[in-house]
This record gives sequence, structure tokens and C-alpha cells, in this order.
Amino acid sequence: MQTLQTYTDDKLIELTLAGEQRCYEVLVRRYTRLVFNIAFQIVKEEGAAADVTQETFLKAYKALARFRIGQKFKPWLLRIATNSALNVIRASSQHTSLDDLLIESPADEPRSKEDIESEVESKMLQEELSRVLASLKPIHRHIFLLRYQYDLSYEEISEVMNEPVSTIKSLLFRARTAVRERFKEMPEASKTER
Amino acid sequence: MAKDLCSVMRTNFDRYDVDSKELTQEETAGMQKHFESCAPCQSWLAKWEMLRVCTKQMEELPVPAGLTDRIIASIEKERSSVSIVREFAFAFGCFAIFIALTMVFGQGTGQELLTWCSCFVLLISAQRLCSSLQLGEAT
Repeated sequence: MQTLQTYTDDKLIELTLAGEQRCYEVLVRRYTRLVFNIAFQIVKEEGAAADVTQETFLKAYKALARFRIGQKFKPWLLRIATNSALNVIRASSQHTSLDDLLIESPADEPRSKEDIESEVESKMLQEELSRVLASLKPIHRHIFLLRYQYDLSYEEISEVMNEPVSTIKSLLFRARTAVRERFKEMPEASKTER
Repeated sequence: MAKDLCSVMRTNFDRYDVDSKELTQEETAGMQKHFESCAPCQSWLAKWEMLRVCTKQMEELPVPAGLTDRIIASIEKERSSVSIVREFAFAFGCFAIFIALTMVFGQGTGQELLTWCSCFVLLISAQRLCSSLQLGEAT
């Protein structure tokens, strides 16, 4: 098991397809946290995100024979996760269409105006960033985080989102602008450059 | 006027940062020159860098306890159900061979083969039943 953990995704998939079931277990352990967090970004509920995570790995397992070796596993898996999470939201009564989902812009949470000590500035900035991101359109938030939190390339994001790279760049440009604008809107007291 | 220039340069920066091919060499050089001499833009760039670093460092949620094991168990269950189908298909294949051999060699040989195949099918069924029960207990 110790050795298996050092194998590349491709190697693990090859071995899984050859009947080495423990190799898929390694992939599950490698990506559970990422898939869970990506799912949570979309469904915003821990239980639902856990269900989406389980469904994602099961779907990927069933489709593994169709996976082309050489293709990247991570974006392929995240695409399944994204689609599964979107299906959960579509199925809920609050959303009627994918358009609603992508246009929806949750209301900002009330912001604390309490003054804080300088040593927790970074933490506060993260909290503000979380609020700013929560106020973005879901598609902007998703792409922004895939790029800047998870370091996915445009090609990988394109594969996850099933959109052309040019669309991803355009969406990312808008997401960056939105993040900055929302930061500008923040009350001075809650900014870090106090 | 300077504010407009800053605004243009910042938009150019976003275009360049998303895709460096978006700007011509002249535009890129002009943008760099402006940023070198403009204090508000330097501060703006520093804030953006801080946001990027902060995004990268954002805390991820921990995986709920037991989730990974639940996933692995569900995959094992899936694998078992696929195996059952395969093994029964194999057993029925054996049975078909038995029928064919009976037709070729006659009934005397067939009786032995029938016993052998029946045992084989029963063994596989019993083994799969035990596995399913064990999996049921585990999940």
C-alpha cells in the first residue's frame, strides 16, 4: 500500500483495470478531500457534498474502462463531481434550471465591524475573501477557486466545466473583476490595510 | 486623466494575467513602465497578489469522518455485483459446454460432467452469498 501511494494516477488506473482493486482505493484516498470541497462549493451543504463525493467516485469507477490513458484523471473526476453537484441543485425545488443556478447571486452575509488585532489580519482577510466569494455568481466562484485555490490550468478547467478555453478565460476575467469590486465595496474597517 | 490611465493599465493587466497573448508587446511594455512609476497601481497590484495568496491558502473543509470508508465500501459492493454476473456467466458457459459434450460423447460421460458442473455452480453461489453477507455486515 505504501508503494501504491507513490504511483501516478495513470498507473493506478491501469492497475485497477487489470483487476488490482486496491489501486482505485488509493485514488479515492488521494482525491476525496478535493472532490468533497469542490462539491461543497456548489451544494453548500456538508451532507449533500458527501453524497455527491460518493456518487462521483462510484460513477468514475463504472466509467473507468472508458477513461483514456494519457488523459488527465483529476479534471475528468472533477467534471463528474461538478455535474453530480449541479444535478443535486437542479433536483432541489429552489432551482428550476441551470441558468437560474449560474445567475444566482447569494446575498452577502452581515459583516462584523468589530475591530481586530493585527496578528489575526490574515485570518480576517480569509474570512472576508470567503464572504466575497460567497457573493459571486456560482460559476465565477467555481472557476476562480479552480484556478487560484486548486491551481488548475485553463485546459483542465475547460475540461471540468465542459466549456472552451476561451470561455473559461472570459469567465475568469469577469470573476477577478467581480472579486476586486466586492473588496472595494467592503467597509474600510474590515479591510486589512488598516 | 491619470486615473483613466491607471484604469486602462489595470484592465490590461487583467487581460495579460489571464492570457499573456491578449496584449501586444508594446502594450505589455507600456503597462510595465506605468506600474514601475505609479504608486497607486503598485499598491493595487500588491493587493491583488495578497488576494491570490490568500485564496491559495484558504482552508479546505476536512472530509467528514467515515466518508472515505463509505466510498470504498460502495465501490466494493459495485465490484461484487459485477463479479457475481461474471461468475454466473462463466458457470452457465460451463453448463453449455457440458451440454455440448454430452451431445458429442453420449450420456455415460455426461453424467460425470453434470456432477462436476453442478458442484462448480453450487460452490460459486455459496462463495458469492458469503461475500455478500460479509459486505452487508461491513456496511
